[in-house]
Amino acid sequence: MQKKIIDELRDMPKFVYVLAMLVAFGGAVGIYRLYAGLGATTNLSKAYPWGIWISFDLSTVALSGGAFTLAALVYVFHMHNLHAAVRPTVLAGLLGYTSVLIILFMDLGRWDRAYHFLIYPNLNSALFEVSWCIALYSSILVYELSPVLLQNTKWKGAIPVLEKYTVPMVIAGVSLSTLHQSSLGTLFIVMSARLHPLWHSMLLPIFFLISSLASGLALIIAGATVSRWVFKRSLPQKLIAKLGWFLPWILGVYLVLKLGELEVTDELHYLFTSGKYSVLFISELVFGMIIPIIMFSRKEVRHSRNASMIGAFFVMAGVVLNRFNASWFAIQPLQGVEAYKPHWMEVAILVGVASGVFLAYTLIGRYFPLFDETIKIDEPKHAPKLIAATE
Amino acid sequence: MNNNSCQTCGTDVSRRDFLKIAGASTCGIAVAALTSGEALASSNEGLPLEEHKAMLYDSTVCIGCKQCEAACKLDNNLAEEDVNDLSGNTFTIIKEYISEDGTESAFRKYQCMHCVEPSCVASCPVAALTKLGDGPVVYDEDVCIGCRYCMQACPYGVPAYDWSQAYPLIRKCDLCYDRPEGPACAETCPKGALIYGKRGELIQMAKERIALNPDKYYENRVFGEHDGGGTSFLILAAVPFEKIGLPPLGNESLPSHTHTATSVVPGLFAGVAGLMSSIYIRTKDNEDDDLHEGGTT
Repeated sequence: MQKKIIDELRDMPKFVYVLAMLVAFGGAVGIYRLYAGLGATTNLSKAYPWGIWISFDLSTVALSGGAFTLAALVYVFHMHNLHAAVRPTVLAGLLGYTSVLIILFMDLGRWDRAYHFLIYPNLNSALFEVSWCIALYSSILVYELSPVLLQNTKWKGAIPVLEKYTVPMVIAGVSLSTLHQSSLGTLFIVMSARLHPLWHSMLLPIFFLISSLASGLALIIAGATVSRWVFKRSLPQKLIAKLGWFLPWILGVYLVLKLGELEVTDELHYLFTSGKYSVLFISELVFGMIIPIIMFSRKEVRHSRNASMIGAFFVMAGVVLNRFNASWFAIQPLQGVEAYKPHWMEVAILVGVASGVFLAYTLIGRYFPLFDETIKIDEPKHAPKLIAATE
Repeated sequence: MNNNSCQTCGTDVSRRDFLKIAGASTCGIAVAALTSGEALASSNEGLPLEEHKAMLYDSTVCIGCKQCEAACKLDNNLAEEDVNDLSGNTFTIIKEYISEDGTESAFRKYQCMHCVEPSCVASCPVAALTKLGDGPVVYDEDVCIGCRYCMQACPYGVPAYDWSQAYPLIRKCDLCYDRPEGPACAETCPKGALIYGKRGELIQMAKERIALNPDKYYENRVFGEHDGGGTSFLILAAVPFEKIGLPPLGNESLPSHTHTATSVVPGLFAGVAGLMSSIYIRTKDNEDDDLHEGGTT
């Protein structure tokens, strides 16, 4: 038994050890943060009460939007030929939300009272709604993933019972996601005094929702390529192409709404006159929207693994930049106050949690039937059996 | 006794009735959820607005002696510290604005503005911040989870955090709501630059001062009568309000913008769930076709 474990550990790819060390270090710093308080371990201040942790949370929730988008396409719109992507994507979503919950816990000044949002509701608060939606949706993701975890155990008899309720659970999950993806944008409506007008908008909830659809799909596409490197398994390129086909439409709507809103509110002139803010905003437009729209409009790109992956990274980078802008870079400084830069401990905790996500993904991919329906990538490219290939 | 009704509800419920009842109660829950936001807002109203506790600060009378700061520290038991902004131990502070060419100057007393519709109260996820029926915006330190959204939401930058603590709390002025004599700062002011009273009367007084000296006050108006939906801390000044750190907010309250978004939440949830269900039913027949389709465009 002991020998078996040692052999198993030896067999692990080297990066697993690197990730484990980062997790351990981040965990140690995290415990110190909980003990010492926010003042001692972060650079947060009165002028910048939220920092890199919130930017990370917003980005991760947006990227994890792939889970609800795909679940809707497969279970509600009956596009069952996308089914092979469900398990890897739901796991990515669940780990994403778990990391958000951990970082939120770190971010709470009174983490010892984290449960208060359950018992002291303020129904008017967008943040109250977001907390509830994230908590409920994380539970739904556990539910959606449970067949993977149970399949090779003695409890597998429960799977048919669980799967009976998959569709209602997916519909609840899609509704909850619609709410909290958009409400994360609502959080920033109240901050009109500080948030630069290029980002501040009454349409923020809609922007956040639409961009989460785009970044979620992009995560599935990019993830399929990364899992080829790590697990030698991936999705048929046909499916990736199918997902990529949606992107120009979603991003197109997003682009038109963003510029249209600026035009309507007479803020279009900020586009070229706001210095650093103009650069940040135009970067979002060009790299996060225009380039991927052009790329994914072309059939060659959609049917090329590498080109799709590059396009998907553009989309994700654009949305992540948008979340960092809305919560950090585009928060205008106050007079006489130094701009916020994260403390190394904030970064160490963040890196630890993110490494934990990749570590958990790698290990679950190794020991659980995560990729049952995906194809082995060195197989010849005959038409893959899509549904339950291994049964 | 009327046996009939008893029979109906007890034994005679047909399937159709049941569906009706179920439907009605679902609608009822949805409506209740939709209106709860309004109900919550109105339950806090209490006294009419003109009766609310308030303070009038006349910047043109203030001499910057800072006795109000000292009185506040004493009454609230706050430690001395060297800061130039509101903080965990400073609930009020006097700052002087001097224009670049030195020709214009004014004092400004920073403290909680006790908004009529406070952003912090609307934002707080656990309702640790509340607006009392008679005006003050107060904080329950036993409920706060330290998310600091109130600090983000306040357009005046008022709520401060006690960063030095391992388990910090939000700190801010509470208008000495439980002090019978009213706020300690107003009681101390030697010049009468700071007056405590009822909001309606103070606005009246401010307007009389403006009428007496029509060219003295900026825009001939009192900041806080309507700004950001109104405040209980009212300010008169001779210099533009922006110069003394009062943001241009318009007359609508900040939470009213957010409320548009949050109030659609229950409807949105029901709408998305309903839409998804109907798409599920409508696309069910296509299931087999879709399997063989496979194409992309």
